[in-house]
Amino acid sequence: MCKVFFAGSVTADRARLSMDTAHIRNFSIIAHIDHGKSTLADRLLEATGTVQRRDMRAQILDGMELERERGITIKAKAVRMTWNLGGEFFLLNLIDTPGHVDFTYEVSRALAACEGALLLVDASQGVEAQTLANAQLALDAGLTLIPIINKIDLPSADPEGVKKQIHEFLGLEGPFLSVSAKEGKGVPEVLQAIVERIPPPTGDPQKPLAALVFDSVYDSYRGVIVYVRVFDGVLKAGQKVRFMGGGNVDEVEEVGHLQLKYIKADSLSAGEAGYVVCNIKDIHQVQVGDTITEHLRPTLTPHAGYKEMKPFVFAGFYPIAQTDYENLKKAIDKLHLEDAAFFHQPETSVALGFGFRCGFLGLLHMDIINERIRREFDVDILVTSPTVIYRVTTQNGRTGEFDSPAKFPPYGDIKEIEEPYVLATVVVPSDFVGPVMQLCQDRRGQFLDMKYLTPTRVVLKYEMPLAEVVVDFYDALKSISKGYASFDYEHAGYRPGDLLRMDILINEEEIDAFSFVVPAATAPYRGREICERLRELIPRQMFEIPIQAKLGGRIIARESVRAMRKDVLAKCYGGDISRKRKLLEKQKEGKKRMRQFGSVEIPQEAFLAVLRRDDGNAKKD
Amino acid sequence: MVPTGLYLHIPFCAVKCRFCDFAAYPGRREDTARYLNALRRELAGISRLKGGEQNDSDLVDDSSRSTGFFGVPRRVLETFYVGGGTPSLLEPAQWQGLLGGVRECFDISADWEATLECNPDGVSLDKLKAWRESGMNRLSFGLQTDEGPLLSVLGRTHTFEDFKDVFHAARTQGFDNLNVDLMFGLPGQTFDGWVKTLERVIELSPEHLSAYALHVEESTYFHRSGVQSDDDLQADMYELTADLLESAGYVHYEISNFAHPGFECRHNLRYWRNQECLGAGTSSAGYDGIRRRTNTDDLSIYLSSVEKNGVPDSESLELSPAQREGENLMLGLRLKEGALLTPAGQALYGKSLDRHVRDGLLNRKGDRYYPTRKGWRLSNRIFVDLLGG
Repeated sequence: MCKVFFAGSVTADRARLSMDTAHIRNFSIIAHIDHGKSTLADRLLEATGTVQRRDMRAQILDGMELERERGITIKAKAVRMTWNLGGEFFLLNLIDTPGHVDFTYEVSRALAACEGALLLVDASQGVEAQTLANAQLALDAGLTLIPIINKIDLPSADPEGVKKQIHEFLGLEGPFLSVSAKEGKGVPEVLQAIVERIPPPTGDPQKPLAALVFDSVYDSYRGVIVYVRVFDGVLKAGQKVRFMGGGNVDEVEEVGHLQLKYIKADSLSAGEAGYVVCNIKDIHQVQVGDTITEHLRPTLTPHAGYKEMKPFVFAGFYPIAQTDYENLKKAIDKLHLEDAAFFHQPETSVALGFGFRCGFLGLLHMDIINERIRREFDVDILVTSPTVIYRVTTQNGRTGEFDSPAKFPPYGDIKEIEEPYVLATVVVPSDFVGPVMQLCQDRRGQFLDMKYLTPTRVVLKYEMPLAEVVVDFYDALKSISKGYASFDYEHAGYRPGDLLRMDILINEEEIDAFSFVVPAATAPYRGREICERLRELIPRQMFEIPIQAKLGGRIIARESVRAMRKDVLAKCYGGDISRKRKLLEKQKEGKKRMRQFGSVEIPQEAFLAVLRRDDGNAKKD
Repeated sequence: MVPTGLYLHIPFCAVKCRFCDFAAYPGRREDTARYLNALRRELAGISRLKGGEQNDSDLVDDSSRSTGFFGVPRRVLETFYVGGGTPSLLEPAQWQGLLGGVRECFDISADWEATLECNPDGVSLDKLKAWRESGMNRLSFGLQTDEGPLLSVLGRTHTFEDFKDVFHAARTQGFDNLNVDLMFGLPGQTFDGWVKTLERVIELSPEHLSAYALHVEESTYFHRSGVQSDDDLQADMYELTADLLESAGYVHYEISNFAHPGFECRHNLRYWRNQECLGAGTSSAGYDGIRRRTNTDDLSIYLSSVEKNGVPDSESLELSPAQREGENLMLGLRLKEGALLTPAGQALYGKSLDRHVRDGLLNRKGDRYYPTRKGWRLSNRIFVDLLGG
């Protein structure tokens, strides 16, 4: 939610002016992470007087603490600015897109709400995987792209080289703008180009209403606030509207413009972007990409490309202390209210007790939810290894989808396991092509294509199992390319694989939360590797603890954690007693972060470590 | 007359040992005289207090309950312990002044146990005589090991020969209660080396022996240089120590302490039996049965606060009944004699203690729990369950 609004009254008055579509521009900014998107947005807000300089803080659109910390945009945002060019006022709607590969679908919907986009490229980094992927999405959506080279004041800037890359890889011609968003250089020229080069929206206010949903947020007082771009017709309070994909019919309570706060308006007309409030309490009824139309006079042209939001990555969330179950439930319910892409259902694990199976768009999305549960709700949770949805066909020909290997049919009944694949794009300096190709191959990637972006940078395309990508692939890639490789992916459907389910036994007991799917070819090796890793991670306890990996009913690897033999504070005299108490309290805290399985204590790191790989020196902690 | 124990801390050393994280200031020996003055002032304050408390507000002038200042029961010292640092560094004159201060403030029990921690080097005959004359009757030697290379590793400045000389000199001066501190699990120390160390020390027949497993404390030289303890080797050494010393006639009466029968350290028993005890000097601690008060371990702060207010800056921790009950058990279970479970303790901790009985860490007879040797080795596993709310 945007908490800050400082625009002066003049701006607010202007904002209320009804504008004909010729004076409206809807645009987005496309950039690879760290190429300066949020900084440029900040400068545009300043230059248009939407935010006064003295009220400015960095990355004003990234309202969430986590977004600022991680330097990425998680939610799509929209903000309306006004700009005077040659005595004429223009309304500029900046529709910001999420900056992470997990949210590709949301990016595509936000782009679909625009007529044009600024393609922002770092002058020293050049075109990256996300630049390519998002620029392609924008071109597919028929947007006009304005290439902008950012950070031109850096000593290592190579604007000419970057122009060449953009030209060769995206076929973009025409004048390039050069800016330093940090210094504010070139910003007026950007605003001028938005007005002059991006076409005004077309659309007919007389036609039946067609408004594209590009984001939504939950407000505890007003319910769901839906961010829309109106293509045809007029949206106003009192209207009965239908969400064409979701099917629900609601009455519009309020419409308005997004200007860092909600500015109520009489209506939103064809060409405009803004918000709608319809007294919807469940954010899941509002799907990004859906079209809102009039209930009794539906549009004939709903927006194409609507997809129901579907999680791709699943993990179990369990409270460390079973007494925290209710608190975890409250946290999950609350976050569920705010996040249409977050899926959850209660789950019971033999090993972990009561918890939730949670679904996410990707690993970052999972991290964010996990972090918010800890921070905002102070619940300590155990997160099991992330997994994808497998399609399992049994001997009698029945096919089912499973978001957890623990739920698979018995070993003997399984005929085939299929898994989801992605089309991965990697941009990497040519020096690292060898190791990157090796990594992709190790992750069962199928090589599709290789092109030179410049004589020293290469674009690789691979088809890879999503399961291989969700497990620290990105960390491994960054590590082996010294941070230079960039990566993006899109989903590419299911393929059968020679896959087996592996189970892990600790102290002779199968821990269902440790079960995972593994390619048959590497199963024995992986079994050994995991037993070794668990041996390192499970602290020594009062007795020896065997760790075993089981494949199809057969033990294929075994390790053991030797019994702890010494845990004592040798000295304890008068002055030590308080100090030793503190030491013991620390030790007790550590114990709290472990889960008790029968008589064995397992630290939560162990659950995420099961799938972690050692390739590329990915972080092992 | 209320019996009590008194600990005095002398924070000066010739050099700082590499395993040491105590309040010790090798570079500040010129502050010794000033420190001894402050210590006497603190003692005067303590002796006028009820309980072990040392806040001005607790000075007894509670007219409803007593006749005022003179109504405070005078405390009689049953045990007295001077530790450090290296208290044996004090010159005879300084020592006499300090003991004079103690006697001014407290009555002294006829059979008190009075221990002085003593480094094996820098001990002259004059000093031994002065200690004896002042009523000290027990010396505790920080030998740590007899192996020359290991002594260097520890940063100790004495040799085994120095130690033997002082040990014999102490005997000649009439000290018939001597302790030797030893350490095992030192970097570079072998199992066989440790066996020999024990044998050599047993030959001298000290009345008391403390054998400590090296614990690498943060903020020590060892910690900074990445010394890591080998828990398996330490466990083997511990078992051996207990076997060897028991067969040599020592009673293993506390996790790390061994004594000829009747020579258990009475002062330290006060701590483990969780009885009232007073403390004075930097980093010293007092306990009055409810509160633990720990003095600042910063020498400069100690000096300035005593000089200004008559009492040192200190940190006080008031324990909840559950914590007190837990500490009674925790401290008691360090002892061979074990700990008695009260009904309140039973309600709070009975279940977890019985679990440890099942795991072979404790034995139980009626309401008394006794540690097993394995229980001692793994005592933190027992103690973390006794911390209370």
